[in-house]
Amino acid sequence: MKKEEHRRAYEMNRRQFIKLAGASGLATLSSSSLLGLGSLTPAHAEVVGKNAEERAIKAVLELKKKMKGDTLNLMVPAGGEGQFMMAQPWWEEATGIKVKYMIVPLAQLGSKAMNLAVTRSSKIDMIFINPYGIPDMVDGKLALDITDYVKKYNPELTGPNGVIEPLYLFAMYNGKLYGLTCDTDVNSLYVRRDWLEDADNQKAFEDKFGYPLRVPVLYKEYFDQIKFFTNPTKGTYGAWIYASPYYAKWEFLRLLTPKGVLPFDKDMNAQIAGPEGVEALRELIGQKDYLHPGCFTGGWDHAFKAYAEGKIWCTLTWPALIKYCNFPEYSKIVGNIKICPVPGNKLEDGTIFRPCQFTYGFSYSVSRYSKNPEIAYLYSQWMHSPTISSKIVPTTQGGFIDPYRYNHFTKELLEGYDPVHWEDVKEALMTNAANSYPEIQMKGGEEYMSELDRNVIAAFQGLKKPEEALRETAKVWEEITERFGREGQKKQWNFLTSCYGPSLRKAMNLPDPPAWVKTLG
Amino acid sequence: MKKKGYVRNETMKDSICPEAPDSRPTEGLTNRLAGMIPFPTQLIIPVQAILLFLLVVPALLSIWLSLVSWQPTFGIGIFSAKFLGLKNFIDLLTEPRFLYAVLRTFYITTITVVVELLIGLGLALLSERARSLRKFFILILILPMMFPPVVTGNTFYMLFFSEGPINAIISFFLGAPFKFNWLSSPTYAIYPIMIAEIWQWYPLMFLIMVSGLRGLPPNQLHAADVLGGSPWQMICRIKLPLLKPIILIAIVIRSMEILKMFDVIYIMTRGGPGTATENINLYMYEVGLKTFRISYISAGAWILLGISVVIFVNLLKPLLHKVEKFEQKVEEAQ
Repeated sequence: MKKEEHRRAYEMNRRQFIKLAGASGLATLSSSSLLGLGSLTPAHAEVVGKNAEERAIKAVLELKKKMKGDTLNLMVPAGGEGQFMMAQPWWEEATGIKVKYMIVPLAQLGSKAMNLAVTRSSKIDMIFINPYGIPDMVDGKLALDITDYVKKYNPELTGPNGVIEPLYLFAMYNGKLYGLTCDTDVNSLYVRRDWLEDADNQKAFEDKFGYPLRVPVLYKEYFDQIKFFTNPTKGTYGAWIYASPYYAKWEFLRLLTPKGVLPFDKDMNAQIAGPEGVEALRELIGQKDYLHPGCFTGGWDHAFKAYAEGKIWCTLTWPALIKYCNFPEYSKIVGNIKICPVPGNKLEDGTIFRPCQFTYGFSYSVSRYSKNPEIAYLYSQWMHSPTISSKIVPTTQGGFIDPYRYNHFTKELLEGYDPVHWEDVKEALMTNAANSYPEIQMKGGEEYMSELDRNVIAAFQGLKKPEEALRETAKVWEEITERFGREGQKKQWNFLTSCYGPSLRKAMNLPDPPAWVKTLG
Repeated sequence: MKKKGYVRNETMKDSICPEAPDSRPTEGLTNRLAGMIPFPTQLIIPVQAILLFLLVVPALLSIWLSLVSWQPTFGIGIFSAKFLGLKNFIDLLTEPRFLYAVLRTFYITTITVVVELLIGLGLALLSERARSLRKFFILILILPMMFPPVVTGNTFYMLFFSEGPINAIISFFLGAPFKFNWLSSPTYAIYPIMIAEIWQWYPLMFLIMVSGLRGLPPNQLHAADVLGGSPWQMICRIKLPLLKPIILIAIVIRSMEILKMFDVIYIMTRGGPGTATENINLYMYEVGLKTFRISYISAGAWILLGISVVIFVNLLKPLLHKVEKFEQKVEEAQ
């Protein structure tokens, strides 16, 4: 070929160059302006798609070519598999990747996860575990840091369809993200709607206490109401609270936190044995005479059953109670349960502080020993996406996932909880979630909580005085902190408190989470 | 001149067994060793080696873990753990919760075994009389043993619930409502657990005693009967002394099982209220598998093993002494 012919065939002339440069510039300008239109596509996202679901599927289809094997293995707690199985055919049809389950008893989830950590088994790709268990999984080198995946694939943690803040922060540990929180296990208040609206009850209550009967805003009202509704002759009880082993610690923290006090200060010194802690424990013990007798031995399943029998005024527990009590097959109080924001206390500055406990809950977490970690993450993102999750949340086939994204709070979805009063469900869950705080979710978390639980029960049973119980707990907490290293524990605790809801951070002068967190997905 | 004594194989072969193969040992250490070990022993060596491996290796690992500070949440290998020496043992022996768990375990074991023994022995003696219905009697009595411990635990949990049948029966006899919360009482919660365990396992004692009674020499019993001994005298003077070795073995077997008790307590009280019903296994589960303090619990397991060995060796001493005496007599007679 002559030189001139070669030049014409392969070299770019000026016109072609200008055309190309212009097109590139235009593409760059238009894509960067699109970024400003939607908060769903952060600047650092590398994968573009209409939504989290689409991005996940697109990426999986690409990665599938290099996938080892053709199956994803999930560790799921017993009772939680319904929602996974519901979505399984859609996933398999979209990706061709099979899903298998290793179903373990709920109480054994942590131990089974640790077995995987010790054996470094690659048999499990994704673990459906509570955020509380994430620190142990991270320290045991089991949980994979998914921060980069989240930045790459954008699971829509924020935005109009995002996860209610601060829930998505609860799967963070030491500044990194290790799971996608997919549950709203906020312990809301439930009262009997019919007893509340009963004119005789209203008159009698106002005559006795001097103010109207209403959904309690302050704990003082709550204590008055449980006294009022306890009637041995009628066989009715004021409340079911969890006074049994493993649960009692939550009840104590539920009463402590609204006083504006956290279990530790910023230097990791235990604060539970102070005057507020003693007062909280006394308040807890003071409810003893107004409680259903099953409280002292029963767990959540007993609580649900007892409440549905219709003899209890109120309880504070997980959102599934609403579904259970509106199921005619199980409940004698269908249509008569009202979910409410939790009560609180008035702080010194006059504000009413109503923090809500996030206990247990679930998140999708990827095993670092998985042979296909990125695909496992994408499966989690797909399940967690606004579109797929809105289909699986309302199922009655069994599962633990409650509404946790803003787009879940629709009439169609919430009617599955309460067909008539779905707006109560929306208001209560969203309020409580926004004001929520997690458990002591850090290294040694289980040790701290177990020690507290034992001593709270000992005080409840009269074996120890409240001051003694909390002093002993604080002493053991100090030992645990020293054993793990105070500086490391301080860092973790301060990061954890920065993940609390905005109202809590404001009320207790807690730091905000790192700025980059807001740019996650 | 031919040597006396050892005769060469060819000569033996020629004179005694012309067809006999050459039986001189062949070359090689393995073959020589194989020749020294009897063939039946050779057959069981592989299985024994595997079992020994499964026993010894975990035991050695456990000893190592008890001497170091290791948890899976440390993210380091077992052999990279910090060496603590006997610190875990000292910490445990000075931890009130652990000591109370051990004491509680032995308390439960003692009472449960004694009551099971009394019930089992009593029923076994009674069953001797009911000859016509004995098989049916035995079948009914051993039914509790067929249930999984989890089912037993759940059943007794419901029985002792504050609004359960036990309180209903007591209310009936008292003529007034009785709603005591058995399982949340720090003082009394341990007793429903013991009752559940006794209900489930007294049949084992019963079966052991029945077998023991059947094995008693009939001549002595017949002679006592002829000489006018009362049933009570026969039991106290003849049957019980002869049953002593059987009773000892039954006590040891049941004690070892009760020391391992977990399911019933977990289902009924989870070791609560507080730690009021926490036995050593619940303690090790809580500390080892919930808070993952594996090293600490390894030390606890060795302490428990030491205590158990001391107790059981002393319990079995009279029996072992008797066996030794019997063997001596047999040797002297020979």
